[in-house]
Amino acid sequence: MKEVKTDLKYLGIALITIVMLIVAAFYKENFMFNLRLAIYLFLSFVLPGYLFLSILLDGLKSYEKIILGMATWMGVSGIGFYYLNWFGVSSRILTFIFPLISIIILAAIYFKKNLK
Amino acid sequence: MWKIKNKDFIFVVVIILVLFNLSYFGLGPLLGRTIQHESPVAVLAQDPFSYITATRITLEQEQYATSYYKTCQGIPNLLSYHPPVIIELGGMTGFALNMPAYDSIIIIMGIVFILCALMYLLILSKFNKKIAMLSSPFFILLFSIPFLITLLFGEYGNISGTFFLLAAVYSLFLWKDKDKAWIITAILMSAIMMTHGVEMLFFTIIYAAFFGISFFDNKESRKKLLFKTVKLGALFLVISGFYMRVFYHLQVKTRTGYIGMATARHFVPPSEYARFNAVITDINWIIGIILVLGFVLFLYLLYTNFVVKKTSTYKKFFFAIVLLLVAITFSNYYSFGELYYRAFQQRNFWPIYFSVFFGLFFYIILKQFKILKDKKIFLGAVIVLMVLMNSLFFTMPAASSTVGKEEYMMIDWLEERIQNESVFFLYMPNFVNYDNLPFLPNWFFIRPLDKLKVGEDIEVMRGGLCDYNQKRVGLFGIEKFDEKLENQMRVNKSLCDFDYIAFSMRLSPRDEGYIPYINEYLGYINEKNMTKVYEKGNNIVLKNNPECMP
Repeated sequence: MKEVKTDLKYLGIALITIVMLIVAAFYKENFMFNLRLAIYLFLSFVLPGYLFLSILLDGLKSYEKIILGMATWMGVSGIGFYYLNWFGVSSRILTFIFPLISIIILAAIYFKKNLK
Repeated sequence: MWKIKNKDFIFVVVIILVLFNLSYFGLGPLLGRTIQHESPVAVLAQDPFSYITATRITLEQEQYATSYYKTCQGIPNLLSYHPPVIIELGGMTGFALNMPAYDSIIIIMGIVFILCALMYLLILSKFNKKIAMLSSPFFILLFSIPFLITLLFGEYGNISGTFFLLAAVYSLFLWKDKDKAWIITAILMSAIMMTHGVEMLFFTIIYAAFFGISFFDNKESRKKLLFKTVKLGALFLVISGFYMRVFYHLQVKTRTGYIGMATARHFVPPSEYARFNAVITDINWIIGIILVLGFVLFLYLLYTNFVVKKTSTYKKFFFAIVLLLVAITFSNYYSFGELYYRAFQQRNFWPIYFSVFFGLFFYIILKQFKILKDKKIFLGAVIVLMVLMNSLFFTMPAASSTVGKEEYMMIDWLEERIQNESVFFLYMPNFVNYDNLPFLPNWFFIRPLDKLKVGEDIEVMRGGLCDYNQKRVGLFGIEKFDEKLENQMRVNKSLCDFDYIAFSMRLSPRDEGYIPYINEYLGYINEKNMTKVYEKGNNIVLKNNPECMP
């Protein structure tokens, strides 16, 4: 339980940091659009990557899980989209379904592992 | 007084500072402080347009396994040329944020560009966190010329391949005490393969060093290392094996169709290519002295760690990584073939690869003043270094593009109206050639412009992404298409063969030498009594006279 709380804290900090960085860099952009970009990056790459590394590798530091997790999940998404495209699955649908299903499955495994 | 309890706190603060520094002073101004634009930004060559078009294909047909028939002379199911990972991520961003392709691919590339630096920071931290933190101010030079050219000239494959390469290298450090880390390495290796094959070769070299060092250092765990390597290779083949088959068909087996274009637009003679990429004299002399001294210190460290005392396997690996990545950027002096050119691409990452020498220099300086021990003063020193680097050696980039809003509007207009008619782009400013930009099935352009000959047939080039001829058949089948596509790369045509003639009167300074050819040809066109069907600003589209047409 303690690990879950710590992870949630760091994920929250990561999300807030991403929002602040994007808003600062693109201050002429509509705030809601900046927020959408931040949430998109967080839900599509950071969160699934973080959960994936938490499940697979014990004892990684939070910043490692965020950065390496993001890179790993960008790779997984790009590769997954390409192969699913090959079988006729639309990228438009995958954009929303792929992170959603990934997060549900990974979160289920993560909580099962950490809430024993 | 507040105390810093968490030992990683300062490092996390520096990570956030690096992200802020690169996004606020680098990516933000490069994109004009906005994410959405009316026409492409931060594209200063033709290559970014091939990626923009590939992303557009993904957005239009909601997949990137096969190319868009409209851009392929109406032929369906031709395999998409570019390695797919970064294109898919660009498409994904476009769908998620409802953005045009040119915005979605540049924002994702900008983020990946910044993450390259962050990934190297993590690698450095595996040796010494303080050196890593002191190296980080150097990263800002990524967003300065000539290094920024890799992004502006659309070497997106190179950037994203390097990103996955650095991530994969970092994952190797986790092998030390994480049994399943090889799974992450295999995923990232596959991502390299499906993003930019060249970095796969670099990774193989680095992995060989890692394997060699680990193998000779740890006699007791040799079996384990071998077993992990076999598993790594097997998972890599499972993930990317099918794509490697596609890659073989597209880029190895039938490269002849593409190579003509590639030679013309990209792999020009090395001296020409080098002109647009980093050479050692591009580095400011003050920075140069710091780097040389840092390199000497690095060699001293290498000596003390290898000869004087026995260092750990992973520290040896760290030294190998630093040296190999730097050596790759000079491989033009001792390599051959494709690698010869790739050295120049990798040189654009000098602000990352050289940063360790910068950090080492200041580490030794700060050590003399005993600044390293107090965390708050140390953090202050890192911030001061960042401010100094930014203010003395860096100028913020400006948002710019080779394609203005007006040119983009003309292309939009053509795309909306043209079905199968042919379009000849007589002239567009600043384009090396504007291959790939319009989504038209049947369009042509001419390069160099002195090929324009009044009253004669002219040798034009066919535009579009489909300068290869591999077709998808059934679920997994790939077969060679007929020769028609390849043979039509360069064709002789008369002015009367085209349905529409499109051009811009906004002349690029680099094309000033061609003014007589363009003017003479415009006079010739004028004689043909064509109808002006579009005119906005400097851009004009003419519809051909039926009497002229065959």
